[in-house]
Parts: sequence; structure tokens; C-alpha cells
Amino acid sequence: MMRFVIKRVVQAGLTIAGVLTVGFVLIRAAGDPVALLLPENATADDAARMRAALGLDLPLWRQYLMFMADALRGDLGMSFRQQTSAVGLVLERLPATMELALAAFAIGVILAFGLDLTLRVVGSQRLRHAVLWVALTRQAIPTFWFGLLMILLFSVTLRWLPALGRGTPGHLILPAFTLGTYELALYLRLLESSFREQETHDYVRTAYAKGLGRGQVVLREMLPNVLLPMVTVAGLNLGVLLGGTVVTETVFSWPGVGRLIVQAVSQRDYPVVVAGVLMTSLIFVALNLLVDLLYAVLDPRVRLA
Amino acid sequence: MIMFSTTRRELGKWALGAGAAAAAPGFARAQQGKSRITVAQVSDVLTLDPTVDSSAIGINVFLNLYDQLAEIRSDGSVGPLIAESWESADEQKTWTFKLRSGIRFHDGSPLTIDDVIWTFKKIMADAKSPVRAYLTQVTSIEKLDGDRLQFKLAAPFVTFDRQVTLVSIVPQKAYETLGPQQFSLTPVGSGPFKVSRWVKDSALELEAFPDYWGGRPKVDQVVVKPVPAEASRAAALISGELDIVPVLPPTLVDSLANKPGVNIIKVKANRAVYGGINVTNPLLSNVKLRQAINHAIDRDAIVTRLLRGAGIPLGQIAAPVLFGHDPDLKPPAYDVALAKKLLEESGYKGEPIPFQYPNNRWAFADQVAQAVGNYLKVAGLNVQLQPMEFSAFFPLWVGDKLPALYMFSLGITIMDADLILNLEYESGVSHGYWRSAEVDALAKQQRAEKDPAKRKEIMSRIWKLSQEAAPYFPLYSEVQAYGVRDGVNWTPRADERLKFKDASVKR
Repeated sequence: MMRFVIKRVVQAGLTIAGVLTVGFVLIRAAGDPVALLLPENATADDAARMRAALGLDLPLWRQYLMFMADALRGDLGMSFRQQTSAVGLVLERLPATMELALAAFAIGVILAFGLDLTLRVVGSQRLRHAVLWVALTRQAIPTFWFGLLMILLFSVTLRWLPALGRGTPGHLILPAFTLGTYELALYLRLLESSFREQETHDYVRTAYAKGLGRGQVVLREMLPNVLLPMVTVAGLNLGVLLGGTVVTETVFSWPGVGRLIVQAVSQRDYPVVVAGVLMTSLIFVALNLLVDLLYAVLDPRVRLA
Repeated sequence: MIMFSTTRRELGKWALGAGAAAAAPGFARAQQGKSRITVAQVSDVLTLDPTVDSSAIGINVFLNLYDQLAEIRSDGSVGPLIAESWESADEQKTWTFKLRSGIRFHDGSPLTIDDVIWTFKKIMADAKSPVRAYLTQVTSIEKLDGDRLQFKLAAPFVTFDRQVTLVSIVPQKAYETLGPQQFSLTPVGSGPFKVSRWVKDSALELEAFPDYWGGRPKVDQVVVKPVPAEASRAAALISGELDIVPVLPPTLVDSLANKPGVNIIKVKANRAVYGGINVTNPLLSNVKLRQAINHAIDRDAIVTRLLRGAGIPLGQIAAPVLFGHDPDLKPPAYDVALAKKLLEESGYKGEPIPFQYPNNRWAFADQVAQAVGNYLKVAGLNVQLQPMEFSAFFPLWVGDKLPALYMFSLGITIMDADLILNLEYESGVSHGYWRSAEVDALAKQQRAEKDPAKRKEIMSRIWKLSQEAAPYFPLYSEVQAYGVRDGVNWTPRADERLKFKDASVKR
């Protein structure tokens, strides 16, 4: 177990170094930030001064070495625009992103399991398929459009909920519902196919033959096997949500990491982009590790080594 | 990304059509006995420290939090603020400002001449600050006595009094005590409003400063909300979550106009949209071809049909609201036959001509570019449209790397066309491609000229020279529409700035 963790930490370190390198190269390939920082009437001399002040006049390899040395100490530099720590800017947005991500994740997972298992045990197959159909229809609607529809219905027409920003629990409902229902279809579909796959196995037939009820077969015999792929997908998906959900954040003016990164990209604010990418990759690495550990708990056949 | 932005806009229009039935008044309004105006900006201000940010989003906030030496008034003229008067001498190279007394910062300390000088010097010493670029011409700042300071400039600069409207004065003591980091979050200014709360990317709450030297603002609170999605801004205006939504796209104006509680206020804006031609490209070096381009475009149709009236056709790249615009200079006539004739005489053989433009900077860029592209095709030019992100386009414009045709727009916030000469005409500094010794000389001459009438005359001559040589094809200046809720008494400005000192609310 210990060896497994150490091995994974080393792997994670290499992954992060790779991510930082790719981030460093890609954002620089995207273009020069100095032109976008300065007003239109800035002279070439103004630009040169600023480039020097930001350290962008150095050869790329030196910039890279300095960047990696700083990164090792946890310092990704100052935002070009805001002249404050880039990591700090990302961390500031993290609570809002986590709030939305976890709420949407919870809505998706709870609704998916609740609906699927209930209907599987007591409902008809037709009803279950109808629910899946509705969820898929929602997923087929672009989030931007669906979010707007939610705003028009609940903010403009009914005036129940605010459309913009973050603050009260009321502010969370629309964006979390919009994002959560998108997630819902994903999990419902996965549950459906996993259960269908399990139904072909002998142990299910055996269980029924032993005279077990539908509820017992579904919940006690099949569910543990169905959970395995769900954990993998849910884990990675939570990572996606925590990395920022740009479209939802944009529609509902939610102050999350996604908007910060997108804005930083369009302004070529290198340090903020890299800090955002780093945070996302850290989340992914951590969640991957968590998924692997959970696997060991859920599936006795898996041994960590 | 490119196609996405168009789609979003279309979706937004559609969405509003769908919600047309809705309109019960008065949701989401805080009723605390305090009057409040909530206004949307496209994104959040990045810092509240005005010495390190020159973005339009930032300046819109700074103008309410701080005072400047002078201000651009709503009619576009320049008027006193911290400075009660000033004079220029030595061919506009020496500027002496006399400061008003009795101005206090939000912390109660007096605004002194030393604060003013410290602020300017701080900006000029900070190579990382974009604001520094506004003051490149300044060679020295000197305190003459207790209330007079003098700037010496490297070259004549007749609009320097307009230039200083971009520099917000901060209190030296508070700035040094708080430090730049903390000051950027909890700043101290001397403007009509002070910051009461700032939740980044969510809301910036400003509160009236009761001791403002120019009189207490009429509204108690102003909340600035970053709302990036166009359609969400419109929806929140209808629901009453927002009171003011600046610069609505033409597509949304019609659907918002008939919503109860929403008023559309239109204003002739400082933004001119125009095409540019890289005349150093051998293909485009022929003046007849450039004139052909100018005659091939039906500016009236673009303005009336495409923009639904939200524009004024232009024959010069200065908007009508700017000082220096010549109302007598008409746009080149739309004449396809003439364009075809000129094109034939130019010897153009149908070579492909790229036409680059940023499509996420101002409203309807894609549609206008497509219309222009089509007009040019009809005249016989093989134009190839290349839409791009503003952040990809702008460095090309700054770096003078646009190969052939391009479309761009300038909103001149100092409201004086002098800046256009600097940006698009003069050798050595501008980002235009056409060079004329005559224009260079005229531009310099007006920059040292005090008499406004003479300056106007000189500028007219420049526009005429430009129209003949046709390095540009001016298109239109924007007529911008603002969505304002009932009961909010506030007038939009030609310079796209948002100022709330004189705004009031009656509900």
C-alpha cells in the first residue's frame, strides 16, 4: 500500500512537470501579452520596457528554467494584469467553483441513482426508459441554451430565483440544476448499460433462481459490480467540474475558476493560465488516486501494488 | 470559438423572443430604504488600483472612485476637476495646472499637490503599468507653489489636458500604508463613490461619499456586476436584477424595447468602424484600386438595413462626436460602375486579397465584414474573409503585420481626433501603412496649435488628403443603445464611460 502511494506520488510529480511544461509552451505560442496590456497609443519603447519588466525579453530557455525553478517553490509568478499572485487568484475562485461543482455533482449522482434504482426495483422498464429519454434530451441541449431557458423561466417569468452571481443559496440553484441535469444523463446512461451488462452474467440468474426478490438482486447482487465503472467515471467527471465549467459560469455570471482562466487566456496573462491549468491537473491527479484507492475497497480482486 | 460567438448571440435573440410573455415588475430589488443602481459590465474590474490598469472596464470604475486633474464632460469637451484651471505655453509643451483646495479623500485626509505629483511620478516609474504609456511625453513635473504644478513635455501636445483625464489621483500616505496589494482591494480615492464591498467576479459595491467636494451623489449605492453573457445581461435587465446594461447589440434592442419597465436610450458614440488597407502590399499600392474599394461599399445600406439604424455612415475615420470631425466631408458615393471602372484601370487581375478582422470586439463585426466582403466581390475584388479573436488580431495591428485589408474600430475616449492621427496616420508612431509627409507636417502643426478653429481646419485637410489617397475605407460610427430600467435617471455618454455622480433613482 505504501509502495503504491509512493509510486503514484512520483508519477504525479512527473505529470505535473509535464503539464507545467506544456502550459508554458502553449500559452507563449498563443501570442505576446504586451500588445494587449498596453493602450493603443503605446510606443514601441513602452512595449520594450514592459516586456523587460515582465521578464519576457529573456531567451525562452532561460524563461523556462526560471519558471520551473519558481514553480518548484510553489510560485507561479504574478498576474500580468492584476499584479498579484497568480496562484492566489486561482485559489480565490476555488470556493465558488467547488460549491457549484459539488452541488451539480450531487444533483447528478443522487438523481441518477435515485431514479434508476427506484424504477429498476419497483417501476416498469418503459418508465425507466422514458426518464432516460428525458435526461438525454436535456443533455442534447447545449448548456448555454438550457441555462438561458432556466433564466427565462425562473428569473424573468416566475421571478423565483436570481439569474446572476453568487451569494445566497438561491443563487446556486439555477446553475447547479443546469449543470447537474447535464451530468444526470451521463450517469443514467452508464447505469443502464452497466446493469444490462450485469444481467447477462450467471450469478444474476442464479440469484433469481435462489428465489431472491428483484430489489435484493438489484441492490445486493448487481449494484456492487455496477458501482465500479461508476466510480471511475464519476471521479474523472468531478475533476472536469472542479476544473471550472466555463459555459455555466458564463451564463449565470458565476465567479469561478473557469471564467478566470478563459479571461486570462484571452488576455495572454501567462501566469494565471498556468496556475489554472496546474490546479486542474492537481485535482485530476488527486481524484485519480482516490478512484484507484476506492477501487481497492470496492473490488476485493484489486490489490494495490 | 469564432462560430460559437455568433451562435450565442443568435441563441440569445431567440431566447428573448421566447420569454416575451414575461414582465411582472420588481423582483430581486433590495428594499432597505437606500437607493441603488445595478449596472452590468462585460467582465470584472481587475484591480481597484488606478495606477496599474488602463482597461476601459477599470476606468469606468475609477472615474467614480477617484478624481482626475480634468474630466471629459458629457458633451465631449474637457472641463476642470481637481485642477480648477490650467494654461499651456511654449507650443503646448508646458502645461501649468492650478489645483482646487478643499478636496478630501475618503479617509478624510486632504488631497494635496504632493499626492498629485506622487501619483504621476509613481506611474511614470512603473514599467509594468500600462497607464505609463499615457504619459510617455512627460519629461518633468514640478511643484511651482502650494497649488500649482507644471508639466514639461518632450513635444507639443495640445490635448494633454484631455490626456490627464485618464490618470486617477491616489493618496500617497494611504497607498504607502496599505501597500499596493491591499490598496488594490480596499482603495482610498477622492471621487463621488467609495468601495464598500468587492467580491471578485461577482459584484463591486460602491457607496456614495457624503463629503464629496462636488456635492453628494444623488444615489446611495452603485453595484457593478460582471455579466459576461450578452443574453444573460438582457434577461437580467427584464427581470430587474440589472438597472443599466450598456451597449446592447442591435439584435437585442428591438426585443427589449417593448418590455415593460425597460427603456432603450440611444447615443451617438465615439466609436468609428473602418477598413484599413496595407498600401505597402504591391497588390494594394495602386490608388485607383483603393478608391474602387471605397466606392464599392453601400454604407447607407449597411447602416439602415444591417445595423437597423445603429450607425452613421462615415467618410473619415473620426466619429461625428469627436473634436476634429468634419461634418462637410461626405462618405465616398456608392457607385458600382465607377468602382468597376477604377478597378479595371488599376490593372487588378483577380488576385486573392485577405481581409482580416476581429469578431468579438464590437457588435455586428461578422455581419458587417461579410457585407463589405460581398460588396467588394460584386465590384470584382477577390476578397477572402479571415475572422479572428480580438486577442489574436490586436497584436497584428500593433505590430503593423496586417498583410492586406483589415477592419478595425477605435473608440476615442479623449474625444479628440488628434489621437487618430497618432494611431493611424503619422510616420514612426502610427499603425497605419500609408505615409504622407504632408499629413505628418499637418498633424504636428495642429498639435502645437491652440486655436480650436484652426485645428479643425487642419484636421479637415488631413481627412481630405486621406480620402483621395484612400488608405482607409471608413464605414460608420456606432449609435449605441443602453438598456435602462424605469425610474433610473441616468444618461449614457458618447465616450462609453459610466459615471454615476449625477444619476438618481425614483421608484
